[in-house]
Amino acid sequence: MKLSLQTKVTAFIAVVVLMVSAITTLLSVQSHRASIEREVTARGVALSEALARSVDEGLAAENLNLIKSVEEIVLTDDVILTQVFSTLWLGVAAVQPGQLNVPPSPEAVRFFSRAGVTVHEHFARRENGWIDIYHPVVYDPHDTRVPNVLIGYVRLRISTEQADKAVVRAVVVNVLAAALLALAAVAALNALIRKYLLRPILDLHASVERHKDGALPALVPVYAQDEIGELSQEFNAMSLALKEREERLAEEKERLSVTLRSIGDAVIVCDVEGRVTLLNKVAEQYTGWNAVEAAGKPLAEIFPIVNEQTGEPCQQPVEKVIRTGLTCGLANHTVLVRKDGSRIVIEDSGAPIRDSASRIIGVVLVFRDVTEKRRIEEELIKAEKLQSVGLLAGGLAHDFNNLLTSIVGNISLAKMYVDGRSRAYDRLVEAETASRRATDLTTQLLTFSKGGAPVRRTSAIGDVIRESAGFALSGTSVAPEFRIDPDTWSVDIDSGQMSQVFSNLIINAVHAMPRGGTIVFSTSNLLLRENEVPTLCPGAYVRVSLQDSGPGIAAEVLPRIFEPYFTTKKKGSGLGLASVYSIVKRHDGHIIVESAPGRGATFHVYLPASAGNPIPARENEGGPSAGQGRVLVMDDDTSIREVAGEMLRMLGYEVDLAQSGSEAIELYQHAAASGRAYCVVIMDLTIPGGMGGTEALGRIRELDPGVCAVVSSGYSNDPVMADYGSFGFKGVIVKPYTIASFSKVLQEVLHPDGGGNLP
Amino acid sequence: MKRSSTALVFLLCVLFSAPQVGAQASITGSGCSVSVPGYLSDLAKAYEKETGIKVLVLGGGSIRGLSDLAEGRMDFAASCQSRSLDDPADFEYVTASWDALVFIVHKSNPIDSITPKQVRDIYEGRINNWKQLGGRDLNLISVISTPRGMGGIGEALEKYILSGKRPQQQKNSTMQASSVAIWEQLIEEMPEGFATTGFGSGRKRNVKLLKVNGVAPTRESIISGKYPYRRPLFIVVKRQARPQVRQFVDFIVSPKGQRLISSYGMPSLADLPK
Repeated sequence: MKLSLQTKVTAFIAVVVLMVSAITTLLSVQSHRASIEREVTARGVALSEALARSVDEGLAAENLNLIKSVEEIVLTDDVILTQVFSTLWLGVAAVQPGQLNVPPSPEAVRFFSRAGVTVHEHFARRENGWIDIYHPVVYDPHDTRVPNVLIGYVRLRISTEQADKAVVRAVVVNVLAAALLALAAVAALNALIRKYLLRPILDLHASVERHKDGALPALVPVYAQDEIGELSQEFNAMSLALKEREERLAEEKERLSVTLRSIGDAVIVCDVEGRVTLLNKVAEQYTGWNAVEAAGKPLAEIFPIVNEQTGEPCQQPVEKVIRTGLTCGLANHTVLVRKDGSRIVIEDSGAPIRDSASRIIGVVLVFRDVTEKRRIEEELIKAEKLQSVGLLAGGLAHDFNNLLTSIVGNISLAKMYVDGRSRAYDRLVEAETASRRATDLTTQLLTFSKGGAPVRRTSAIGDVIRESAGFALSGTSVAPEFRIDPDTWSVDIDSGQMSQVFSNLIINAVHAMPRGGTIVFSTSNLLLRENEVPTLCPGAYVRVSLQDSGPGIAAEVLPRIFEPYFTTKKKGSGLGLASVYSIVKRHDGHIIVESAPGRGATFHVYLPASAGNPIPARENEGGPSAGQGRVLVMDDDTSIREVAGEMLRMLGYEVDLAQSGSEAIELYQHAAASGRAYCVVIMDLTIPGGMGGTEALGRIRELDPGVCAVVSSGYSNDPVMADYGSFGFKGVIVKPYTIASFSKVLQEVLHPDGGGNLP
Repeated sequence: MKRSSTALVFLLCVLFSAPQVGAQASITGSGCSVSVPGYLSDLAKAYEKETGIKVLVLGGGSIRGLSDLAEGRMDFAASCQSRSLDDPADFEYVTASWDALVFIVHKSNPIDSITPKQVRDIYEGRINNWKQLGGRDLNLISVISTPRGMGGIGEALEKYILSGKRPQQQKNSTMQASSVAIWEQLIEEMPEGFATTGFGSGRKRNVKLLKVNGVAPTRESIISGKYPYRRPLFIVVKRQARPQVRQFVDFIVSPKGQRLISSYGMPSLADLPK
């Protein structure tokens, strides 16, 4: 039971006052009773003396009538017994006969039989309701010769009923008076205590209640300079200090909260039971929950994480942190399932929060969205993979190209030697066709590999697109739609390689739309910021987009389409898109594919914008042209050397062959000295274990600065091939050679202003 | 108040010291309530007249007299009971007169005579209504003192009637009184009363003395022995009593004293042969 302080104080005062008044009442009643008793006893003693003095004659004579007449004298209202005893305490007479033998009290008998007792003493005994007074009876014979003689005793019993009633009346009056006084005292004391003691305490109590409700400062009035007053003052000081501290804490909390909100990573705090207590802004964005609705929910509900590959739920880091007490990171491939069901790849760490006693009181979880980072990483991995494959392919292609040079050369020569109507000619044509397909393949491999460094010219990309589209779409049921902005910036590209890019993409699209469709070609100028497109540096770019209306690319296939030898077609080589990727990369660009099943596929090709103006494309060359003059061919491969010599001779040139740089120099020197100088020197760029074309040319130029030299190579990764002019070459020829390519390059270098055609 | 009490004390001292001065001129005695009215009061007056010595005689019963004597309050005791083993050794019993047990009833009681058996039946509780004795239908209330207080009467009843037993208090039929004098007075007022007393005192009360076996108690019938239950009355003194006391005792037993006793209607020693 809850009792208020005031009730307790009132009860206490009431108890004290009641006790005091009870004690005083008791004392006063006792004293009153004693005084009444004394009064009654005194009257009883007087009456018993009178009786004893008057009864002596009757007792001496043992005359009952005389005794009784005397007894009747003393009988008054409150005398309820008179008795006369002989000296042997035998009843002699009593007013009422039945009372004759009421025995005397043994105390009285003892009192009067003690030694030294005189006849003047009386004995009084208080009983319940009366007082007995015993008095000796002395007989006076009224004769001077005879002494007075003790002849018996009288007993007088006087009722105390009246006295008792008076005492009761006194008690009632006293108690009533005491109760009234006590009531008044309680009221007065209560009022005083309420004013001087309780009010300040109740004020303090109210103030404490206000503190509980958070109202600060809750000051109390100071009524007096006593202990309670001092307490009130101290309390007020405490309240002010508390308010100040609370404000400081609030500021601190605000600052912490702002800091937390401003952290770039997501932060979730939870208690040891794994219930969320705090979520910062980034965490709200990532999880899709807001801090208020997340508070108190289990972490697993707010932060459901699954394995990226298996889709299995991952272990919550909180459990691990609490179990081990250590900071821990998430396993790889963790995906957070957001409230709306979408997924983001995250990287996180959990750390225990410890209190001052180092007990774990919670866990703080920090995580970030690494979806983008992951994409970049994957791009890098892909690039590395393509690069290593490219290296391998490049090496193979080089050797293969040399062989093809010999094969193709010999076939084209053989065709010239046989009758065009003979069966051998048909076979040679077939062999040539197959060899050309092999050449195409090798070229693609070379392009894809390092060997394909673009020979860039500043070009208008739109022209390249239209040209490639026109060529690749002829004879198909796919219609092009050009949305090419005339203001599209120019780009530095190898237009051959780039048309290969577009051709491959178009062919891909056409294959995807066997029943026909549309390819939309569009271009746009972009200023990219850092990381806007993965792997691209910030700067100006042209984006070429090819959007087909095909069935689209399946999501699981999408990441792999640029891998070499990855194909979904029965007859595909798996090198088309790989070369596209490779070429774009070598142009410092990037290619992205967007697709969803049923919605077609869009390839975006990003190419760095050029600072220069486009250079007009050269005119189309005609067929092989005959020429004359001495030509020196340097190649380490005998079959290539032989084929090249044969072809040049076919074209009307006089040919010398050298198998190394040093031999070429020697021949060149010798020829110059004999006055039969070579008009053109065709040199292979690299001679394994010997002097290559560049070095040899350097030497020759020392002898003859006006030398006309053409560089030849199976692949064009060498900067010399792309920028042959700066190395002193006048032209470039790519293996495998054809008669036409020899004719063309020789016409170019010997007759830069144009020349005659082969008959 | 204090002055007056001082005066009172002084007065009392004077009052109580006075008898000591005249002690030589008086003798005191108390006891047997049969002896005192029977002969002793009259004899004391005669002795004072003859010798000038005051003899104060008080009743109260033999036991009270013996007690007063033993404690020195009195010079002699009158007793109707004979020497007992409880008595002090220096008590000297002197036979002073004859007496007899008498049975008394209220004057209005129609019963005149009683037999020893009937007396025994009353004291032993077998008779508690006067109807049983041929009287009125009235509760019979016998008055006795405490067994110890029965004194000489009790001793005589034991000897003559109750075959060696003291009378016992009977429920609803007995009331007690301190001495013979008192119970004689009670019988005077109680129509249902019955008591045993001595001839010496009983004859002087306003009561009916019953005949025993048809013989009324008279001086003559006692002397002649027709009335049974005769018994002696004693004066008891201490062996070293004062000469005045001795002289009074001598006077009692002297022929003159005995003649006086006979003259008071009592059967004296002289009336019977020794």
